[in-house]
Amino acid sequence: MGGGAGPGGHLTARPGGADPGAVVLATGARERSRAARFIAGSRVGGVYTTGALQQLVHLHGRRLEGRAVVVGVELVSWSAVLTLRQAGARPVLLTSTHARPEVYGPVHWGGRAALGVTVAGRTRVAAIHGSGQVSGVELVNLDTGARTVVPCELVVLTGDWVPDHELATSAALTADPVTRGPRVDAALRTSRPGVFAAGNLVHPVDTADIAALDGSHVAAAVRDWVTRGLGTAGRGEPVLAGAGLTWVSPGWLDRSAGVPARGRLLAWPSVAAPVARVVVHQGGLEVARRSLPWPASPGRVLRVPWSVLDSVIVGRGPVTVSLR
Amino acid sequence: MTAYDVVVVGAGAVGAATARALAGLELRVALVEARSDVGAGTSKANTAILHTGFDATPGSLEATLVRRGYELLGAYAAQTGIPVERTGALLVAWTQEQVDTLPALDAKAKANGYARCELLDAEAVYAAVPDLGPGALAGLAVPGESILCPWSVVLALATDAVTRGVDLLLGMKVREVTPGEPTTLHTSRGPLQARWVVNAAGLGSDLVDQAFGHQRFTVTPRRGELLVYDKAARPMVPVIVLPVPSTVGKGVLVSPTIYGNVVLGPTAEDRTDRADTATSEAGLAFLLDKGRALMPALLDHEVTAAYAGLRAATESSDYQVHLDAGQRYLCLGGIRSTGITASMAIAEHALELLAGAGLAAPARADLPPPPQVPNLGEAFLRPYAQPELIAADPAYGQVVCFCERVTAGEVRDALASTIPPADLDGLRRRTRVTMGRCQGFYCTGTVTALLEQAGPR
Ligand SMILES: Cc1cc2nc3c(=O)[nH]c(=O)nc-3n(C[C@H](O)[C@H](O)[C@H](O)COP(=O)(O)OP(=O)(O)OC[C@H]3O[C@@H](n4cnc5c(N)ncnc54)[C@H](O)[C@@H]3O)c2cc1C
Ligand SMILES: Cc1cc2nc3c(=O)[nH]c(=O)nc-3n(C[C@H](O)[C@H](O)[C@H](O)COP(=O)(O)OP(=O)(O)OC[C@H]3O[C@@H](n4cnc5c(N)ncnc54)[C@H](O)[C@@H]3O)c2cc1C
Repeated sequence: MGGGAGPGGHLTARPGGADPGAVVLATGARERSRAARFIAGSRVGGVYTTGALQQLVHLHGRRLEGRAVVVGVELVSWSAVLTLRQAGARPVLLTSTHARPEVYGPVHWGGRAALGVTVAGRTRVAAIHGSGQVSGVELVNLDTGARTVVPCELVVLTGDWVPDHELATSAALTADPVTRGPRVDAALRTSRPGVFAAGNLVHPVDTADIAALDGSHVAAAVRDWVTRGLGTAGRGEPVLAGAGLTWVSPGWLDRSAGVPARGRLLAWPSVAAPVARVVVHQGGLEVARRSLPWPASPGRVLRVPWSVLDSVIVGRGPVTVSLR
Repeated sequence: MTAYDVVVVGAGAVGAATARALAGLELRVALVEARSDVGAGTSKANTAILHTGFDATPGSLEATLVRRGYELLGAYAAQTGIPVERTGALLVAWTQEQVDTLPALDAKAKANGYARCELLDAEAVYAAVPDLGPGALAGLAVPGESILCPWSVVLALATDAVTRGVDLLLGMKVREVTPGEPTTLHTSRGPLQARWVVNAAGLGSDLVDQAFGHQRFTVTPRRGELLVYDKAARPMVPVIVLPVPSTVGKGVLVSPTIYGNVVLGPTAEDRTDRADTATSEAGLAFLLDKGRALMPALLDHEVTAAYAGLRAATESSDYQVHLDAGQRYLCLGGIRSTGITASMAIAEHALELLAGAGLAAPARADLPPPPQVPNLGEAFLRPYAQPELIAADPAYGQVVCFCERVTAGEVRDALASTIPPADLDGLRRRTRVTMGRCQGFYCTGTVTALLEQAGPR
């Protein structure tokens, strides 16, 4: 079989240079670091991403003390709140640049139980102060420009996901223009035959159960490719995020790829809406519109029935999915 | 307590090089450092260029020592494994006024003994760096300018000093001085006696100088902020892209780093706090502005890190090298913006000055060979990519930090090395752990545990 995975590109496992028949990229997504968020100030201890925090606490039993400011109000932010409490620290504030993020508060991960923490919307973190250890964070009110310094000993930077696309990029896979993760079709095929991508690499970021569903979903396509040489590279009509959305996945519509796991298109809202009204355009024309009986909220994946794309005609140009 | 023959104050590039050089003679030498590690001051946070000295002020001590240091450190790097990449630099002129200064810069380079500069037209400039922003008019190529790993420079020099028998005294801050025969240094860990004292205290060099009773110069920390971009951006910056120097300073450059990233900076802002290496909103915004003009496509890439270093700026642009033969005291202060490059030449010059003042000692015949530092350079083989090494020692195949491909074997070696790291920061400078694009998202827990297992040091 050989596949397109080995020769011709840089997608090799070193050392030894295995030449697999198929490669599934499932490198996940990470939270942006402090520098990538342009948060100025002192280089101090006590600043973590949720990922780093949870390793320290859950895998290495680290105890933490003091007040914590959690940057972000996504599902994972509430997970950080719980971890902080468990480690002995006191989360005092969650900040978000969105207006009223608490309205679409947590439903999973026991987040409700963590309420009681103040949430500050329309707030940007400008700087972290301290010498040696954090002593406070400097916040800017996005509407008034007013600045305050909230004293704390810990800062947790949550959400703000970026797919770990180093391998995908080095293999020159076609990428989503926004996330830069590899673009896939409903069968999780990338632009290169024999190379597949699944999990948070292609939808930064959903919960673990959804990533696992991807895993079993991609297995069928991999089997067809490896055993029967069936299937090709992902292709078809690009499906792009329009107004109100940051990304959508899968990013290609190809009828031969079947439907995605659970028959759902995943999307990342950039605005909040109590009722998610999804509009589909192709070639400048509206081809479908659907009101979903659930809200859209930044920081949480919006699940859209794949059937909203039923009226799209492959060959008539790129498709845009937006939130109204 | 018996007196040391020489105590060197400050274990940055300059102090480490000087202690190492002194230990090549039959002398008892101590290297005293306030911090818990070597190279944790300005020597760790700079732009990491091995300068040819083409644009130094001709006739200055700096010009002489940078030129000599370029040769000495280049050769020492080859011996010890300090990674150096001979990328070359390209000075880019964006205004007619700048174009007009290029021939003068070429002449200045020649006056500094550097004759390899080459004037380029706009077409050649874009051929060399296609991703430059629009508007470049001409350029001056400086093929000798190179990039290196400044952490490995200090580590190699300090390790060499220690294996040559220097006592490295960390966590010891010199507070007051009683000059005499011997001189007593009053430190945070008690008194220390020395026949001769060398001041290589960087940002604190004026204070140590004052402790000897002098009022010769004042250090004003001049902050330089820098942004490090993702490795994916490195192919866009094959050479060091320098601005044309103006009266306001050296300006903002874009350079590849030895670790495979791209760095944009530095700013230049006079400050008062000698320890404050914070970044500022204004500084980062300024850099983004500059970057947008220099290379707009760079800004599409993720930022991996931001940092700031403090130059030991003084009233003079030249090095503050002063010998006081009567006090048996030598000041190597105010080494502002070229001290990594010049370090070994400063040390050589220091030995000559001290010999001239009466510090006589025979050269040692039994010197140990120079140390080998682990390679942190992206362009050279690292353990993860060496199957034979991994076969012999599987720890080199066990990746701890996958962004930077750091293996458990390298962490283990650093923890067991001659000058082991005191903390996570020190381990980062010796191995690159947690310094990649995820900044510890994946490996903070594991790395912290490895450090803790190693125990306090
Ligand atoms: C802090 C945090 C808390 C979370 N809490 C919850 C929760 O409570 N409940 C829930 O349902 N979901 C939670 N999630 C989400 C859940 O973890 C993810 O949905 C799930 O792990 C995604 O699986 P994945 O396989 O796509 O990627 P990951 O689980 O992220 O796996 C990616 C793997 O690829 C490896 N990798 C990346 N690049 C390379 C490379 N170049 N070479 C080799 N290896 C590489 C990484 O080390 C990693 O092991 C949380 C996520 C985070 C970050
Ligand atoms: C932004 C920036 C960019 C630069 N770029 C370059 C470049 O590209 N190439 C180049 O060659 N150079 C560059 N430099 C300059 C270079 O970094 C410095 O010249 C060099 O690091 C100075 O070394 P040092 O040993 O004198 O000082 P330091 O490295 O600061 O060492 C001095 C040491 O003395 C210790 N100390 C101070 N006071 C006491 C005391 N009282 N008791 C005990 N210990 C004390 C400090 O803790 C410190 O470790 C740059 C500098 C900056 C800031």
